[in-house]
Amino acid sequence: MTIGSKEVLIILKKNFDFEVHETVLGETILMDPFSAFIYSSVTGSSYLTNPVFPFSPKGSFKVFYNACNYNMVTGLFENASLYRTPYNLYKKKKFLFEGNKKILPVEFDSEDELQRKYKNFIEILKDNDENPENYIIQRVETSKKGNGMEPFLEYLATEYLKREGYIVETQIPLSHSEGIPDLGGYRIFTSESDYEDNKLIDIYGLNIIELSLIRLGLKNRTGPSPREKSILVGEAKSSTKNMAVQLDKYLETGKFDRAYEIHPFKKSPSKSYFGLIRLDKSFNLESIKPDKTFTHVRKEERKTYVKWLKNYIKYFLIANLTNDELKKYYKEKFGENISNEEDLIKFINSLEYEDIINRIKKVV
Amino acid sequence: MASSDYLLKQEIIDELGHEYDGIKLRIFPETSDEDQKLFSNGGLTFGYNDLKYGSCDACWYVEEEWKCPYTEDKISKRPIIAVEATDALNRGSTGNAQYQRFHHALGAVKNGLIGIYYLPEKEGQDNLRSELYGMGANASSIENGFYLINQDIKEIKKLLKSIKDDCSEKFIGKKLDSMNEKFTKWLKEEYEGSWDTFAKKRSTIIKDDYIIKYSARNKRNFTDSSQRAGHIAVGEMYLTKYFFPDQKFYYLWPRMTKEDLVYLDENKKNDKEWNLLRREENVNITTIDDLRNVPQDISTKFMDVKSKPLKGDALKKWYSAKNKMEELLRNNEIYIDQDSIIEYNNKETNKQKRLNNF
Repeated sequence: MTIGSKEVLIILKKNFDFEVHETVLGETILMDPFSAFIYSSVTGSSYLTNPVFPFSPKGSFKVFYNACNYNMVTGLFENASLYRTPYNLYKKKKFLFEGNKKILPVEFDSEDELQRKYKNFIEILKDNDENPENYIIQRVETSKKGNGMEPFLEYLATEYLKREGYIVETQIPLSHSEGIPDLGGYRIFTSESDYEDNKLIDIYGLNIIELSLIRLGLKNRTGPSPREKSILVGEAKSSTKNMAVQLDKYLETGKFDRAYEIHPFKKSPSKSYFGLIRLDKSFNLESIKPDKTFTHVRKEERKTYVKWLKNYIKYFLIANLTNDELKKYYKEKFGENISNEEDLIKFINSLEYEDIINRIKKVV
Repeated sequence: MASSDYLLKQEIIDELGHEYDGIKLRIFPETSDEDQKLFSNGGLTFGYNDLKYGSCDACWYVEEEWKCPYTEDKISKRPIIAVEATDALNRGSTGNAQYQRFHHALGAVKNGLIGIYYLPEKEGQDNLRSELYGMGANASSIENGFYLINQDIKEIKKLLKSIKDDCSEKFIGKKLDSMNEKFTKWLKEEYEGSWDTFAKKRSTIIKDDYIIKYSARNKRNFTDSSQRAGHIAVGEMYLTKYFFPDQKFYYLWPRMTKEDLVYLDENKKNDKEWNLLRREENVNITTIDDLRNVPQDISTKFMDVKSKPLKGDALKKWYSAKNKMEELLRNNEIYIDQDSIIEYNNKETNKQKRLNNF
């Protein structure tokens, strides 16, 4: 059993209340621009900007090479400046946050075939006075086992985990030797502990990229705040069901208290201490919780990771500002200009969430 | 490619578009593996002399007839420029890992195209290895096409314009002059402009009619995929080959035996990098068993550390043995027995394959 075009539409409609929308290219899923941006960022599905290499922001918003250190990688920042932030992307590609988007799943056998389809779609849309950039193509690679749907599964799992109060992220930074897990979920604030009610955005139950979309108009839309802290890791597969080796390796880092296998049709988790996110016979997402919480969390590793995550989140919030606003902010605090990455890191790590959010409120 | 390399592809599209005045772009997303196919089969890989080189990230072509030198098939798309892009410098790569993708664009150069190795760098940084300029410039002088080292996407745009304006030779000539200049300056600053000084500092021995380059490669480097030794060894191999383009070259791995080589030949038949190492013209992989007059204590030391990670005592032993070996090779007290070198047995050519199929 595999996920094809039809199933993509059914799954998105059933699980997230998105509408199916009939278009000149066939049935699509209608999404508001923010949901669509997250969808494209996670799945790599591309806005139909050209027929050769259409645009996706996937991979744009990296901050650090590894977890628990502050070596910056080109992404949200470069050269001690804000670089590929959603706001900067918006300035060059206005269509990203203007008007609803339509997700069109397309099955194909080769890149050549897909590019011919892109070309044809663009012509049809232009003939019908529609903007191709409002269409996002979900790749369904029929030549690959499982149709190459891992990124789609990552999207399903992250959206599912958002409901449980996790801040979610895909392709999370750990380290070269520890690997790059497909997804992470961070429930590091609870209503009873250190969560600040800032009236602008709840820092839980969202994709970490959404923290950078406040300036662009993202509305707060999360549910009740989580009551239990947890950090989880997940690995998605659409063909092979073997994820245990990787998940065990991630758990061995001592950072995570639970691990999830993500597979559309797997019946039960490989190990009693793994959870499983899957689809039932009617394509409803469901999860099987781990039998027991993994007990190999190491206190020191966990503490260091949580401390780093709490700082890491601030970088996504800061990305709501422009470079001029960031420089001004820094100067007001430290009385001088940012001269290098070290300055920037020291500054951002020293800020309180409330402080950053108040700053964002001034520019929203 | 790493996901930051995917952003480089996006940058190519953002800066140059998907078509430049009739010159079209072939490029695939990160999830696709079609770049592994030959260009003549719709991919981004080039082959030459029965050898496939690494896949490229992008290729500009025109709608004209072209005969693929690898398959000898005629197709209706003529490739002009092939680019291998890497964000290695921005990921902190300062060492020989920078050479490891040099061969990806080399296949295109051997096919007579313009090959570009694109390595952008953060403003204010200067970590590009100058060796690459020499490798590219010398490859341009002996191969069929041109090999350009590039750090600025706008330069690719200028190259495309020069092709449309029919003045690409002048543009490329200037670029190669600048690469040569940077390389010569580096050689002067680092090695007093002397190849002998270079050789002494870079595990290289220059003989009258051949070159020896030695390294600590061992069997495990090639059987453990996480070590990426194949890529790095290929990069080092091309560095020596293009620094001494007219010379026969022995790539000496004294931690390996003939038996190891036979094992790797048998087990890495479909490995692109292994095939390049074993079949590149004028390059001979040489093991401890191909050396003559090696004192017993030296060969024992090499064999003691043959499978060990080079650290602590193993590293000390390696240094002591390789320093002595180098001295004796320079004095001709140890020599390479050319008749002992094992030729690669995976030499079924395309022509043979076609004949066999026929």
